[in-house]
Parts: sequence; structure tokens; C-alpha cells
Amino acid sequence: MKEQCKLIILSYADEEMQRNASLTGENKVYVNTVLQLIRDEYHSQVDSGATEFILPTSIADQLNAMRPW
Amino acid sequence: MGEISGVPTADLNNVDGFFTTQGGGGGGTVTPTPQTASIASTQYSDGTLTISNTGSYTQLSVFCEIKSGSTLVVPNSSMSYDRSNGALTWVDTGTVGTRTFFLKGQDFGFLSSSLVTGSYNRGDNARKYWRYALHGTGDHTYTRNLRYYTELSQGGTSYPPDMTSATAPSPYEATANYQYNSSYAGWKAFDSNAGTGWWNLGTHTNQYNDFLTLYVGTTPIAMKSAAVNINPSFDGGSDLTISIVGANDEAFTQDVLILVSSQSKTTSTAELSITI
Repeated sequence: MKEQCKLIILSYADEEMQRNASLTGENKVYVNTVLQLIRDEYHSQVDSGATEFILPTSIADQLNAMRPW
Repeated sequence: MGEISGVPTADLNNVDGFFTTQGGGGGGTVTPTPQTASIASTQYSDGTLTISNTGSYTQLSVFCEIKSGSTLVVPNSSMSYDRSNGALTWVDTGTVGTRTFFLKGQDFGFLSSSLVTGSYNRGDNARKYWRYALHGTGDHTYTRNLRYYTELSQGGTSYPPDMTSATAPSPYEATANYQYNSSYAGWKAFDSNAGTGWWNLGTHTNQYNDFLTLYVGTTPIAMKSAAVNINPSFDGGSDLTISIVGANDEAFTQDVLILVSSQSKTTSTAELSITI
């Protein structure tokens, strides 16, 4: 489940993007939003006993709408 | 209110006995009386009195003090006067009750004006509703924690106690005009958990100008300061400012009291401490 969450995070903000955000601030708000929303959702699903991580459509829509490219 | 003792404040010169003409011996010209002084009927800790004809003076110096009975509550040395708009402002930390102001002016090269006096009520700062408002155009804000305090510099008793829902513990109620979703509801800014908070992410009306209201119950509470902790990753952008306002109705139309007015998040005062 953790690996599923990690892959989804990388699909929105790959390692290069995360590195650039950290080093230069490029797309920092977007990258941080990806991390915050998906991590929070992951913990929420873990707490509710889920065994498979599924990204809710609402979060996917939000992140797609915010894409800086 | 526009009037003092039932007489329009724009016409104070016509009030018998309202002025005490100064002697003015020496043959100079007396400064015209600041005859359009106006003041709201109820003032709270931060008072304002406006001399609306301030523009008619060349360089007016103002003497003003406020008394409760015969006791001096706000000395002239504690008054601030803004010539650009005629506003006299002060902080009255005294108890509630009737106040009397004594005002006179002296324009450059003139003798002192007549004395203007008037009264108003110094109201109680206690309120049932306290609102934390964000103002900005840049970005969304994630408020991790927020607390109100009964004393300056985050002293005294803090409110609310840790909230566990939008309406618990009773009688506290936290209501945000907007939240991204229930995971980031307004009450989560009052749960003392830095890992949760109120987030106004997402497209919505009047985006980034959102507010979180706390109801403290039927007994009003006087707050003097607040502390807010904002997630540094989502800090509302460079132009974000914060206001703290109290009122006695949910619509914020009754007994509105501005505790903090549009303060930049880069500054902290005794009234508002901001950590990012």
C-alpha cells in the first residue's frame, strides 16, 4: 500500500521535480501540495483499515487542475 | 453616531455651553475650532475620533485627553493624530463606562482653539464570535493552529480548548466559510495538532479571502491577542494579511471589534503572533 502511494506521488511529482522544488523552489507549492494531499489521504486510508491505496477522484482532479505545465 | 448629546456633530458650534472659549490674550488669531469632531457612540479598547475638517488647517497640532469622571484615562501624550484624515486614535485599557473627551487644536501661527468636549460609552471588548480572516490574492493558506488569548502577548487563558469536532467541546463552534474538504475543516486549526489544520485549497468564490469563525458560547469573552501557526509550504503568498475581528452575531454586524487589522504575516505584535 505504501508503494502504491509512493508511485502515485511520483506520477504527479517525479524525483527530478521534487529535487528542483527543494533546490530552486521551482513549482514548490505544487510539489508540496502533491505530498500533503496524498500523504494525508494515505494515512486516512491506513487508519480506516484499507489494504489498497486508491487516490480519490477529487484529489486527482485538484492536482490535475493545479499542474504548473 | 454623528451626534453628541443629541446634536449633530457637524454643527457643534451651535451647542450652547459645549465649548469653553480660551482666553487667547496677546492679540493673536485664534485657531478655528475643530467643529466637526465626530465619534461613535460606543468605543472599545481602540478608540477613534475624527476631525473631519482637518484639511482646512495648515498644520494643526491637537491636544486631546479622555477622562472617566475626573480620572484621566488616556493622556494627550498617548494620542495619535493623523493629519491626512483627521483621525485621533488611542488605546483605552480601562473598565467600561462613560468617557469624556477634551479636544482643542492649534494651527501653525495661531492661538489655541476653543475647547470641544463630548461623551461616549467605552464598551466591553467581550464578544461571542471571533473571526480569523485571511486577505490575499497569491495562494492558499494552510493554518495549522490558532488560539485566542485573554491577555496581550498570548497571555492569560487560551481559547478554545482542543476541539475534537466543529461543535465539541461545547459550547465552542468552529465554522469556516470554505474548506478544501472535511480533512481540512476549520476546527482542525483548534485541535493543537500541527499535523492537521484548516486549508483553503481549491477554486472557490473570492478565493484566498477566507475566514474561520469561533463561537465561544452565550457568555462573551474578551480576547486581547491570538497566535497562529501557518504551514510554511502553504503560506498564502507574499501579499497575505491577517485580521482578527470580534462580534456578537454570526454575521459580524453587531458590536464589531477589530482586534487586528490586516497584519502582514511577516510581522508579529502583542495582539497577534504568527509563526510560519
